[in-house]
Formats: sequence, structure tokens, C-alpha cells
Amino acid sequence: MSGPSSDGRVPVWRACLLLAAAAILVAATPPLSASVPAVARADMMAVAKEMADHRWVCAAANLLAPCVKNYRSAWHVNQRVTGVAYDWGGMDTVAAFDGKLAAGQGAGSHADQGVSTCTTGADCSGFVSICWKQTQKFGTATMSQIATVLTVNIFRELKPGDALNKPGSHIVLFVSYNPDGTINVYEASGQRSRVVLSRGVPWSRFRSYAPIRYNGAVD
Amino acid sequence: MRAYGAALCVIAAAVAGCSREAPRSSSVTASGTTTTSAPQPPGRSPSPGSTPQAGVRVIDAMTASVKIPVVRIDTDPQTRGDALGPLTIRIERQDREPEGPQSFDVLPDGRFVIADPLRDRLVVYEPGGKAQREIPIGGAARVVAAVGSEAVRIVSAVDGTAHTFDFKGREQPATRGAESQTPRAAVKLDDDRSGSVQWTSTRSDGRRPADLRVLIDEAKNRLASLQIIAVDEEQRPYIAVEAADRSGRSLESLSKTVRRYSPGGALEAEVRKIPIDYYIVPVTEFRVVGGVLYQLMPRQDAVFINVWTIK
Repeated sequence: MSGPSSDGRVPVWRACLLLAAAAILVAATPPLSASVPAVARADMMAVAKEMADHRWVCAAANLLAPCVKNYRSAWHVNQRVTGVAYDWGGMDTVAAFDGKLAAGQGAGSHADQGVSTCTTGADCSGFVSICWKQTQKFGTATMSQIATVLTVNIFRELKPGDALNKPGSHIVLFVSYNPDGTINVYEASGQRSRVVLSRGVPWSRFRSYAPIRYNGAVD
Repeated sequence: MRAYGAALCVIAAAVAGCSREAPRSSSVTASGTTTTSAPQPPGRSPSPGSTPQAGVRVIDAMTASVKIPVVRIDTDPQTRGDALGPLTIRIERQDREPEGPQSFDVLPDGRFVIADPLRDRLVVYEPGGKAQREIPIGGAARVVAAVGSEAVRIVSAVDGTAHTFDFKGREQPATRGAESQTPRAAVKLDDDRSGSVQWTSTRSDGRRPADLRVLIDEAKNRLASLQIIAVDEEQRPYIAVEAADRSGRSLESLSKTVRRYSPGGALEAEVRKIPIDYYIVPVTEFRVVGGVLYQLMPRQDAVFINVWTIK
């Protein structure tokens, strides 16, 4: 092939070839939303509600986690709890949670106890990953792979199943607006040791958060 | 060139002035807590373009900020369970928000009671911040409210149940009078600039204030939320007002003020420059006792009780 012309400019035919190659490459790359499963918002909310409303009883075996050094349970024996337990690093659905409890695993754990293989539950990003029907766990820092930061009016245009995300820290699932302007969110809360519905939350809680929308969300 | 250089000097001086923190006067108690007078911790500036209404008292500066030390539960295991005074926090890590004190109340004599959920206890502090005693409650409290001067009512963080304890940590039967004296109300935003509060119940004495209309006058802002903090003994409502940039696309401009209204519904006072850069977000952010506004501000280096005297 011939190089640049004597005046340094790229020949037209070469420029066209490059443009055509680029166009083919772009066309062959599927858009990000095409690589994530479509999930109806109603389904997201149903899963979130199921996890927040799930009732279970802490058995003696669930107070223990032999694989965790200095394990400290948030519960006491025979305690009746509503909400899947908070388990740092976890992404257990209700069915998986119940199965692991029955198998004698520890009910939940905190981050300073490390990611464990003998405890069950979900952390904040694991909870959202479940609600968004993912087969793998995305963390708050990697949610951008499956969700897009919104530039809408967050005081009016968030939809059920959208999320408020603080990378490296926490993520919550938006539910609804209240008449007084506060919002309701589902979240796997370390402070409350379980999945909960937090009602009437003021915006000052979310100053460092960004609103994101799952790329496969279907209204 | 001289004019250009002079302009740069003026700009640099202005920037230097804005970044300089106000001087504090402080005294350190024997327990290591520090009470500071009239400081101004970093916080948001008042909304631009806002003009105080005639007859409305505008309060920009805190009366005091009581500082209570903290210890990190996950990096100071040797100190866990030792010292009375310091409150306990768990720092933020990957996919885990920070944890620690989220609720407090002010006793009739001015003492504070603060929940220390990571140590399953409450701690009572003197008004100056010196730890007085701890109340072991056997679990993590998400909300704490004083019942008189020698009992507290808590809501469990892990199961949402309510319990009443005396100051020795003995559980008490639930008593009448422990319920909030704040009447219920329908609070709503009517549009981007206004909202309303319509009382739907009365206090136990049968009284309630007049319904309210809340307006923000800053052209660049929108009303984000309204929340009732308290109704005091004189029937004066205290309302937390959040406002943000009019576009609604960012929370970076969010600001929070507290307004006090007369029993008849007239705006009496507004507390501005309320800091909202919490490290741990409080569940019970504000209390009002005797015309004094208190705010719980958990930061990574200490927990502050910020105080504004409105009276």
C-alpha cells in the first residue's frame, strides 16, 4: 500500500477504508442494554418486597459461623426476624437463604468479618443484583456495567426499581415519592442487619449518591 | 498588567478568606471531650438570593457544638468495651456504609442521651459533653427517646421492636406518655416553591397549631422536602426544609434549614447553615427542647451535638 502523499495528507481512499472499518466495528458491537436481561419494574419491586418481608426464625445453629474468626451474630436464638439477613459479600435469594439457614449456616455477617462461605444473606449490592435478576453479583463500583447514571429531575422522575448509588459505599432501590418530598427505598442495611423498607427518607441522606437506572429495565 | 495583577490579588484574597475556618474557643474536660463555642464547621452556604422577611429572626451561627470522641470498633479492638465516654463507629468500606450512633435525645435538665448501637448501649452526657453513665440495653438501638428524666424508649435496630428502660438498663413496661407529643399532620409539597402542613390530630392536651403554608423565595432553588421536627409547649411547629438546585438533576446543591412558626402559622425564625455532611446519617437528626434546636452530627472523627438557641 502507498503511504501518505508527498504533502503529508492521507489519501482519500485510505480515509474511506478506515471509516468503513470503524462503522463495521460499531455496528457489530451490541449496545450495552442488549447484553443485560430485560426485567420489568414490577418484578424488581416484587423481589425486593419479598426479601424485605421474608420472615424467618433464628435457630441455634444460625448463631454460629465456624469459618469466621470472632463471629458475632446480630440475633439471639429463636428470634423472629422480618427481612433477609445482611451478609457482606452475599447475594442469596429468599430460597437460597432459607436453604442455607436450614443447613445450619450463620445468619448474616458484617464486613469486618470478611466474605464467608458459612453465612447467608445479602449485602446492599447483592440485594440490588438480585432485584435486577442478575446471575452474578455487581458491586457499587461496578454497577456502571449494567446501569446508567440518570440526568433526570430526581425529585420527580425516578421510577420504581431505579437506584441511588454511592460507589464504594452503599446502594438503595428507589420505591416511591412521598407527598412531603421524602422518598421510600428498599435496602440491605448493615446497620439494621437485614433487608428493610426505609420510609420517609430525606434527601440529605443521599447527597453523595448518584441516581442510576438498570439498562434492562422495562416499565 | 498592573490592573490584571491587582485583580488576581483581589480574587486570591477572596478565596483565602472563604477557606479560612472561623476561630474556635475551646476547653478540654478531664474526660477528653471538648466543648467549642460558636464555631462554624464546614457546611453549605445559605441559598443565594434569599432575603429574610421582616420580623423573621434569621440564625446563621450555632450557639455551641458539643464534641464527643469516637473509637473505631474494627481497628481498635483493645479499646472496645473499655472507655465510658467515646462512642463507637464502624468505618465505611467497599459496599458497606459506615455504622454508629444515629439517634439521640435531650433530657429536661439538658443532658444528652445518645445511642451507641455497636456496643449495645446508650450513653448519657452532661450538657458540656462529659460522659456521665452508660445504660446497657442488650441490643442495638436505632431510635432513642427520653421518657421523663430517668427512662428511655428505644426502637431496636435489628427487629424494630420498642422497649423502655430505666437508667440502670432494666426493662420497664411501656407507659402512656411515652408517645410523641407532636400531633400528626398531612405534609405535602404543592409545587416547586411551596408546601403545606395540615394537622390531623392534637396533642394529648387537645391543642394544635394553625395549619401552615411553607414558601421558599429563592428563585434558583426548588423545594425538595418538608418534615415536622417538633411542636413545642407553646404550640410552635419546627419544620425542616430541604431545598436544591431548580433543575433537580443534582443533590450537590442541597441545603437544609429549620423554620419555627408561631401557633398562628406565621414564620418566626429560620436556622440556616445547618451542616449536612454527615459521615453516618442520623435517624433522629433534630430535637427541640425549650426553644433550643439540637442536631446530631456523626462525623468520622467525632460525634457532635450542634446547638442553636432560638427562643
